[in-house]
Amino acid sequence: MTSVSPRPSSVWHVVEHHAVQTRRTMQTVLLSGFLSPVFTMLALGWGIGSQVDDVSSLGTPDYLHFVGPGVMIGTATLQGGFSSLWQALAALRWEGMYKNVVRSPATFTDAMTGRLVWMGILNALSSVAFLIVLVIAIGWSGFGALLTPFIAGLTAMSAAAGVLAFTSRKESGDGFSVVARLGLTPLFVFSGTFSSIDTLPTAIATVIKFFPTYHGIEVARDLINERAEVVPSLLHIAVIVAWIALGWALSFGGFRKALTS
Amino acid sequence: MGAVIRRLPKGVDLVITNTFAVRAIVERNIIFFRRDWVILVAGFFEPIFWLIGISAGLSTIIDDIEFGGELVEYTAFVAPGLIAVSAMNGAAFDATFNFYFKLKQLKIFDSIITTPVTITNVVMGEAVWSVLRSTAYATSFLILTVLFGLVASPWAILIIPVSALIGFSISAIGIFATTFVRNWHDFDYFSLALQVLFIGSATFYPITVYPSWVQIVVQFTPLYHGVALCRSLALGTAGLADVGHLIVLVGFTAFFGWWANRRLEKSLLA
Repeated sequence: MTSVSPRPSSVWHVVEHHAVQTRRTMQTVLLSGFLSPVFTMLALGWGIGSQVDDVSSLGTPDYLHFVGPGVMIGTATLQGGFSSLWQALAALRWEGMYKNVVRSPATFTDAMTGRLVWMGILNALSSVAFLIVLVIAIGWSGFGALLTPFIAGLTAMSAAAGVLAFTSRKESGDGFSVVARLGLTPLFVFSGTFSSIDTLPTAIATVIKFFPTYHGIEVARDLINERAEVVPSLLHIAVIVAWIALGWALSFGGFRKALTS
Repeated sequence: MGAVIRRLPKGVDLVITNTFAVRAIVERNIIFFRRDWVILVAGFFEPIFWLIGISAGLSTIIDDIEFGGELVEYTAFVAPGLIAVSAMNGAAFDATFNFYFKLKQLKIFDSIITTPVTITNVVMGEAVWSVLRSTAYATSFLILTVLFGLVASPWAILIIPVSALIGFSISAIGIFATTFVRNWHDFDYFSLALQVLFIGSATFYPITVYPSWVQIVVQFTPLYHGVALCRSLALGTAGLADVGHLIVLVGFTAFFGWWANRRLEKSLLA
């Protein structure tokens, strides 16, 4: 182990491994990463939308314009976070995939970086499919919308990195379903996904601003509705990137211990 | 001195079930989950998050919703629907994922049926356990909605037996569907189905929002009837239509429970 900083070529090999592996489980991606969120978005967008009397307070032309980007980024959070639970534990401990990685010139940091980069790419790709449906439903609003899959990819990476910090220290799946239900679900539901964050109880609204999902939804919503401004958007993105860095740094020790001792 | 378990004749045991054997199956689940009680508690919170997340914000921009000829506040409209959802969630996991794990991975049913406990007892026992979990979730949620002043009628007490029935029907359908599962990846379809039921069963908006053909399709799904029952009981608008919802849920339970039992007997005794 000479260097701990990830090397792009080795990271890319890990990404390729995950890409090939995901191709065999395309069904999972299609069902939980695309069909399920598309159904949720359309049913809530049209169903709840038909009941909303006062659209003006949303700041968007209709409810689908509001909830669409919310469900997109919320889904990226769930998908990214979930991938760092049982799947990551399997690769790290049960199946020993990453033990094989460190027997090659690639290091443990390449393994964890490659994993996170792949989660970003995968969720950006499934968000493109989601975006196509959204644009068909609400109409073309401008080129800003094309940047939303990029935001979804970053948000997925941040959730994956945050949860990976926890998983990398675990030897078994104890507590995983608690993380999913009490950690990831609230992020999906409370991040201003279904209504403006100001309408939520103050305590929730305050705490949720520390997490990446809220910031991802804000940027994506501004982009879809053609009202994004450069500086505020970059600040939101900075929070997401900070989470990726934090999660990466906190996963470091767990990965090193699991793979180099 | 253990009690003697007698096998009842085939077919009869579907109706008059052997309580001792069923209790043994339920007890196994209780002992198992005693170690993992956090999972049980965590499952209870999910619908509460949705209640706060969706209705707290939306009630400021959605005026009262018309239901059963009366205008209802949005939160009071959504809350009973989510009680039904919590009953479904309580049953779904044990009837599908866990059932498959016991059936194919641990193969504990293969061992159990070499004892006087029959396959029907196993199905019943697992269903009864699911129903207990459903009812516990739904009852806690009901108490919460009463505390928040979201319940308008004393009839709401009947939500407790109704949630047991929702749990029973989901359990029957879940176990039936699980008999077709080939590998773990098939559960992706189950997750999708649960999400579609959760969002699509007129939980967050009246069913009249749908085009008429979708309304007809929704009638053939179980959770919709549970949502409708809980809603009219909580809001005090229960009527003849609810008898219909009850019949449908009982029908789902009996039909899929019987068929699941038949399929398991064929595969396990083969």
